[in-house]
Amino acid sequence: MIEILLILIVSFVAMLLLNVPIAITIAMSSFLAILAAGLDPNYQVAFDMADGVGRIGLLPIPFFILSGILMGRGGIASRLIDLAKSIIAWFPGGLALVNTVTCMIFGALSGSAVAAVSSIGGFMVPEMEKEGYDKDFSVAVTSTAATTGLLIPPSNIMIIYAVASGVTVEAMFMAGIIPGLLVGLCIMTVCIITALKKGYKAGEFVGFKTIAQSFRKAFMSLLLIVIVIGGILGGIFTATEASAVAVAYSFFLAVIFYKNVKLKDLPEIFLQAGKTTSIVMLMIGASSAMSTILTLENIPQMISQFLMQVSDNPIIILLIINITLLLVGTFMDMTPALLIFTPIFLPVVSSDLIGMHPVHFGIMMIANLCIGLCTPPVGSCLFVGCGVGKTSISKVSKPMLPFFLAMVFALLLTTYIPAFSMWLPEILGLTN
Amino acid sequence: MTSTLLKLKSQLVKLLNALVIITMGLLVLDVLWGVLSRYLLGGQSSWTDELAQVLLTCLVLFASGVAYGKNEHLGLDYFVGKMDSSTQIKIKCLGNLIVLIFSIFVLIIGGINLVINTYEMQQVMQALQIQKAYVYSVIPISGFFFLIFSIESFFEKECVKND
Amino acid sequence: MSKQRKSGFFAGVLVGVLAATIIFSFVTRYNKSNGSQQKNITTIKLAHTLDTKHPVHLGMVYMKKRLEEISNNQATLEIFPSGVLGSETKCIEMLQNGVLAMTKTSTSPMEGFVPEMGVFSLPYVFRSREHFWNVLDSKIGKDLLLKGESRNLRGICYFDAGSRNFYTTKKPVLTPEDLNKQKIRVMNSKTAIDMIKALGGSPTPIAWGELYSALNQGVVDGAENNPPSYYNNGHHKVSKHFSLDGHTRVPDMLVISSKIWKSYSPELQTWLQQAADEASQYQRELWAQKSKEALAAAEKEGAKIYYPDIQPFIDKTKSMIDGLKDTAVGDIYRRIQETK
Ligand code: NA
Ligand code: NA
Repeated sequence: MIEILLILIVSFVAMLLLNVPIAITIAMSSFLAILAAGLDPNYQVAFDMADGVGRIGLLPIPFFILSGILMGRGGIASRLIDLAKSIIAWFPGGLALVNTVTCMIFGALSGSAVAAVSSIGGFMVPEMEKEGYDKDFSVAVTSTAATTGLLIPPSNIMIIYAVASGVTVEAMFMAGIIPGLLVGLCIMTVCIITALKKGYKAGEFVGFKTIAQSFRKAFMSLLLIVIVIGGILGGIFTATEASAVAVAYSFFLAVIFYKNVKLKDLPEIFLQAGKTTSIVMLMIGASSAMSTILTLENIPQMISQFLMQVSDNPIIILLIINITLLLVGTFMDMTPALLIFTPIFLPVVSSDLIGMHPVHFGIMMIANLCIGLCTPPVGSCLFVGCGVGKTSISKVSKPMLPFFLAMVFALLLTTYIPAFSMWLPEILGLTN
Repeated sequence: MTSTLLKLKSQLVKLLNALVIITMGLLVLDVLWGVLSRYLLGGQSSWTDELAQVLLTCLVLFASGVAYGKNEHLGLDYFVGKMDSSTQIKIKCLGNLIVLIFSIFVLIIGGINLVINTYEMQQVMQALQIQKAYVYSVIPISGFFFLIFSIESFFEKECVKND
Repeated sequence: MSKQRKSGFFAGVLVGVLAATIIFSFVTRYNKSNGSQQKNITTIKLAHTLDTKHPVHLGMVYMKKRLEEISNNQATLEIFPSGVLGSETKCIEMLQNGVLAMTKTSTSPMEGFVPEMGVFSLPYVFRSREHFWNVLDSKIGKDLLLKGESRNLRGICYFDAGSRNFYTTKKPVLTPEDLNKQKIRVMNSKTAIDMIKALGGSPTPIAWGELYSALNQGVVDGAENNPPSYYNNGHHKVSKHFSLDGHTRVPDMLVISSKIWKSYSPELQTWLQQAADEASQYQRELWAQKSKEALAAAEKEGAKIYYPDIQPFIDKTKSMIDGLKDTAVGDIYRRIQETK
């Protein structure tokens, strides 16, 4: 079985470095491993891919992607910015805080960090520059704050984890709220400290009347989060159905209420959503073949035995896992990293020695891989942030550093204090 | 040769685009109907879930063809990006070759085997009462699209000499 | 070195490593196919979707132990629990292709492969637990196990998965009228949905994992399952009325790929069958005990257990049975009723 693991790793890394699409890299390295194991690789990979993409639990993915696109084009971002501005612009580093909060809300609503960076960054980075903020700092704020949307529900990456690990989507959604807010809080702390140090000026308090006005304007957008979360908790529909309701509601907002999207734009939006879905889901399908061969060859057990030999201290093992994931996250996008490492690490952490709840582990993994979204060389949030801010990765790296520290700090808290993740799902009775 | 391929590709892309848009639309309607039927008819139809599963499989396989045709699948271009342009072209051609192998062996041969096998075993989807083999047939179909697009890409990147 | 030579060098190394890995894969495959004949221990891979505390899983663990003893350690089971290899339907498909040797499945996913299995999903087929096992141990049960042979699926034994019963949040189900307009969670199968409709309730096929919160929040007013599942998933905390109406008894079964079965020596086939039969006996006792314990524990924690008269339920669902006349399933149903 060590030969099989070797074949899997070496061919995977070689094809990855040769810029073969990741989904096909996963499929073809599994193909070689299945071939070596003596099975029929043509049939097995095709079968696993078909079975892997057709799982009913993955159904929310196309829907949250579609509703994210509808929101992005539907004029929801500018309304959220106005609201956040009227409430917190008078703090030191006010605009940076506005940026963070809006990214959090928009990321939360759309479930896409990249959508948050492009929609919010497009408005906020030029505006912050006008007010005398350093552009690279603004890009750093936007890119990191946007990742919180993956921890605050709804979130596609949580759905992928739920399907990969067998926990419920509802439990994941509830578990992510506090860690998501925690990361946001750590980022805002960095903003305030930087603002005080660099003397970024605060805005003026606009008065409660203006706040009420901008709240009224953003109300219909904010209602979406109430509908999705409230609908699930209130027992009107399940998480899967909530995603379809989110599509219907964002369609209503974008096409009928705000009228920013025309009916004739819909085919193009459907196509865009379909493509984005397929990019994520082809990786899911391919990783299903990888997971089959890993399981049949008992590789997860092998790795967990190895890790337990290294140390029998849960704190150290979790640290090793976190460092591994941070390294993986620098080079790999979130979805493939999560798909590949969940079946490997989950048996380790849920063993009696560590006894971590699978929901808690999922939150830790996502919080960890969120950091990777902002690190070079592969970081989609960082790329999009530099794109909308018209700056370069090397220039953003320095202002990014304190934000990394803040995110790592939040990650450690999330890792070692289970209550942050587990308290909400437990009181709601979702962890049975 | 190249112009024929390009024409073929643009026709196929149009067809695939239409398929993706229709499947996506049907998927939204199907799941919304599942929620509505529960509240309006007092009981959910059993076929909505199974149909959604079928549509999701079709959507992913068709749309991933579109995304490949547009070169939109995620890859790690960092290291290749640092190389000189002539090496970059060679590597792109190799990547194309791997996609070609993937489409022939996994999607087309593996997919056809899967369809034949499932057809012989007469596996039926319970709620829809259709043969599962029909659902699996989207794999070799999408394999055909991947194959054409990767061949076209060979000529486009001048991995093969044009005549 | 110039940039071009450097890039060329690195690209060459990567391509070389990839090529070497491909060759190594073929070599490993060749060595494996030659080496396996010398091995004298047969490892039979068995995958299922239950957790490792489930009584049915414990039945398989017992079977592993017995197989090793009977065969004098020449054969063993390698069990993959908790759905690590995928859903029940996926495992069955893997059996057909011979990737996996064995799986444990409920008879309901088997309906897609062997339509006759549909008989177990019908309401009120069995009069009692005793009647149920009499039927499974008779020719009817044995014939059904082998019905899938042409589809590469050979059943080797049944396990007890108990009877399914209604449990509700607001009021107990004592007559079919108590189900009126109640949203009852069912498995997503046509028969299950038709049954709830025939009884006057509104069937709601949501995922099992979503059920606890659905009961808790009131998405559904009730559900139906066996006592251990009711208790172990904590549903007794949010749904206190448990009515032992036993509307269905859907057995679990162990299935082996016929392809792989035929490749075994007659000796190994006998060992395996014996171990399976013993495991089935052992597991029945275990199930009965766990079922009793679950009901007692649920009652102790505040659940109420009811024993409704099931005749009105049988009358209400009779139309479903009548519709099956002259079908294969209808024929088996008739033979089951004739069995004592
Ligand atoms: Na979100
Ligand atoms: Na990264």
